[in-house]
Amino acid sequence: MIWIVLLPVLGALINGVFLRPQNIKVAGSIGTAAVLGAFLLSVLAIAEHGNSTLVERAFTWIQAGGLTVPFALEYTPLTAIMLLVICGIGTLIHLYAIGYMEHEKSPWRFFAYLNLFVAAMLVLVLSSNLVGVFMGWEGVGLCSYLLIGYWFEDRNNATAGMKAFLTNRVGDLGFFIALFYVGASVGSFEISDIVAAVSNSAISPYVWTAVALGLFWASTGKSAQFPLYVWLPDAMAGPTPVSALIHAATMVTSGIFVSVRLWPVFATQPMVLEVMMWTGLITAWLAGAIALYQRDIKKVLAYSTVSQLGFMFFAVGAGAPHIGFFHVITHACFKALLFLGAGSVIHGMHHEQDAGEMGGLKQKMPITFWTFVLATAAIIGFPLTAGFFSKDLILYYGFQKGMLPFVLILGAALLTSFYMWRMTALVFWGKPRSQHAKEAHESPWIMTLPLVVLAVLSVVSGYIQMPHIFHVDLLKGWVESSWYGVKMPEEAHLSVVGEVLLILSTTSLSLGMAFFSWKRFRDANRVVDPENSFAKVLLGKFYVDEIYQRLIVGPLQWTAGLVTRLLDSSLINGFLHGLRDVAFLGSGLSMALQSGRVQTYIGFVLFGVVFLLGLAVWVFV
Amino acid sequence: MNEPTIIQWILALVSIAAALGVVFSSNAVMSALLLMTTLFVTGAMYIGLGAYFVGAAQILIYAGAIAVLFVFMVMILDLKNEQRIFRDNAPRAALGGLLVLVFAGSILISVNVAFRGFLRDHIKLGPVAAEAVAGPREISEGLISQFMVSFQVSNLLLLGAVMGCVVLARGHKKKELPRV
Amino acid sequence: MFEGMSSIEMHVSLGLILFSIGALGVFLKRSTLVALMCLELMLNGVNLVLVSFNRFYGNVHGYNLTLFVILIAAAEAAVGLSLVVAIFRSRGITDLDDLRELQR
Repeated sequence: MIWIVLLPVLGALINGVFLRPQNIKVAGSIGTAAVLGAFLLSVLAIAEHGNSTLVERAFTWIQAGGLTVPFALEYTPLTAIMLLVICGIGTLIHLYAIGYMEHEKSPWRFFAYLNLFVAAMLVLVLSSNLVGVFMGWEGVGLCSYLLIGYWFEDRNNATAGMKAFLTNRVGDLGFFIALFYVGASVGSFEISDIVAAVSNSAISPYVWTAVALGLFWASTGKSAQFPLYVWLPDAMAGPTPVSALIHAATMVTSGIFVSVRLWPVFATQPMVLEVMMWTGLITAWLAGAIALYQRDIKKVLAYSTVSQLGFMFFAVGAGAPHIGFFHVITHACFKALLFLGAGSVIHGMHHEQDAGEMGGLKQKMPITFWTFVLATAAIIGFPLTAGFFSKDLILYYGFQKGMLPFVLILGAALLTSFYMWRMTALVFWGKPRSQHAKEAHESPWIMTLPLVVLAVLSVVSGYIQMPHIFHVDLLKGWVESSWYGVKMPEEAHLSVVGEVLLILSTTSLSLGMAFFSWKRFRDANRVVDPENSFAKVLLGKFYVDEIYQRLIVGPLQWTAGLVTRLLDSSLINGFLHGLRDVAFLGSGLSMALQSGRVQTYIGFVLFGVVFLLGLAVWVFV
Repeated sequence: MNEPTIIQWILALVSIAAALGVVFSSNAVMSALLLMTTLFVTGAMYIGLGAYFVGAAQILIYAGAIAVLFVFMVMILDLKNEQRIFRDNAPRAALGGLLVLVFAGSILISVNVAFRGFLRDHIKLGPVAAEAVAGPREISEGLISQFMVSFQVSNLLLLGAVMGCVVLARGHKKKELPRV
Repeated sequence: MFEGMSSIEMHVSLGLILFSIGALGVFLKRSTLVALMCLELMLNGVNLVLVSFNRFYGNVHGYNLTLFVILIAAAEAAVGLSLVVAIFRSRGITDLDDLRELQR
């Protein structure tokens, strides 16, 4: 099982350190092969282990005092599904990147980073203890920094990378707190031990509150929830395959993954769950609203991701972790597809990203068009797509939680419909609005093949968990068996009629909104930035970044400057200058010894004689 | 003779004065001449102590050749007047003075102690040794027998010194000395 | 202090004093020539001590040694003075303070 992790590491090493191929086909093949290999191994592992859990120990990593942390990988059904998602979609994205990055100067660097990212993500997912998860957590943070700022010659890109890493870091504080509490109370970091300790009454429940909150705060950073979501839109500065892999399918879902994996802990903390749910709601609304007025394709998708992540957290907070995880899977498929499709569009438009410059691409890029439309349909919950099932179940559980959450989450879903169709219509329908659009061409097979595969997945992946009327509960079963015996409580069901009504009404609302949006935008001649002030606020992303800058970043920088001046310049520099002065003094004195004048030396002799005399006198008298 | 005679005291004082004059004089010529004086007086003291040959040698060689050589040098080099020591570099002067004082003082005191102490019994000198004891014959006998090696080596030394002086004094083409 | 002072003691002390004065001069004087003179003073003082102590002995070894010292002093003075001449010729100065070739 360890080879699942080692293969991408190997790929990264070969690409990055040993071979460094300049030819993108070679570099890309190595990278893709590594991830494909990991995928095949994952399939094998599933075939072998099925529904059980299994730990495979590699070596003992830390041993300090009474604390032992092994480097061990664990197989659970939950993990298995994540493996399929990561490696499968990862392989497709690697393949796609060979085509997308054709003009790249040092392809080996790109593919090495990509492989490294996959490896880190796998460590995060596969680790049997929380410390290992944290290692993977940090690893993906690092790789996202490397990849977002990949084209670092442009200063903005590098800044975006830094922003991502730093914001993540703020979240990591929560992880640290959780780790400390776990280590102190449970004595071991193995997740199985942690889950077992939840029922241990010797440990104060506040410990678990702290752990849950800490982990949730960390998820806020990594999974881009309010207030730490600000890095994700900026992260669009990276190449599109990077956005697809990291910010749609894998890294941002780590937060959800950790919550689901340690669900038994969260299950005992209704307060944290409430926080989670409302945070998810706020984020979903906030991001959805901002997405309404965005012009850049990738930015829309970025905010959409943030919004969808909000949906996932909403589901987990509402007491349905398996549904949150379900949405992770389906979202991975169609969001990756959306990003890759957007990449295809950008590629065909010679790297133009402003939707205002596009239009009428459906004739020029048919494959991209159809797959993109399918993905958009999935994200709004068009019947029988994967998104239909996952989103519907989210709405269902929201309804069970209460009228207010339900209405709000429904509203967020409608926002999703609106802005997604706006973007789709602007890009593909109507008449071309610029020269680039007129000359756009379809992308090569190496890029369109992954699109097609993902499109299929976007439909198919929904059938593993369906509304109760159909009694397909596969996913729930798999997730539950990953909890070492802990079971979810029995839930109250809506009646069949109620459920059907729910589905019908929400779906029709969503479709109606989509149609309305399509109608409005499909023949747009220009895309103008709005005039009225409310829209301006939206366009300005609610000025959250600016607020952060003023409230947090600015004062921090000012303090840092102060400390630099005080401590560094005065104290440390002063100390060093003092050292220098002392050294000069000493050397000056020593130089005087070597004056080169005979009389000085005679003086020394005299002094020596007197000294010896004194010594003799002192000894003998 | 245990007590120094009055003449010996006077000679001692004169030599001290002359030595001080050598050091503290600002005029190089004066220094040279006072050096000659000191050496001469010391030679007198030797004779007073009964070391006739050595005293003669001192006056002949030391006072008569070396000091004269110094006088020649001073004349040739035509040095400017030397500045007073204390005004020039007081710390150095103070340091030197201190060291010398300490040195001299300590030895003086110990000499004092020694002579009054354990040496007292040994200080019974007969009359001045007869000239035979300190005459040229005895000294020469010593030179040839006991100090033969030193004698020959010192011959070599003189040879070397002569050669060195010739080499050093030859100098460059220009024969006339530059004006300082 | 001066009562009961034997002649030997006085001469030895005198030699020491002369030596010290010479040492002072060597250390402090700026002119090379005068420094050499003071060097001779020092040797002279040593000679005095040698001569005065020889009264204790039945032999003349002290006198022999003194003669050697005088001889060597003469040789040294000669060489030293030619050095001074050479320096003066090439540099024009004989100030000890300015002759600092060995300085780092």
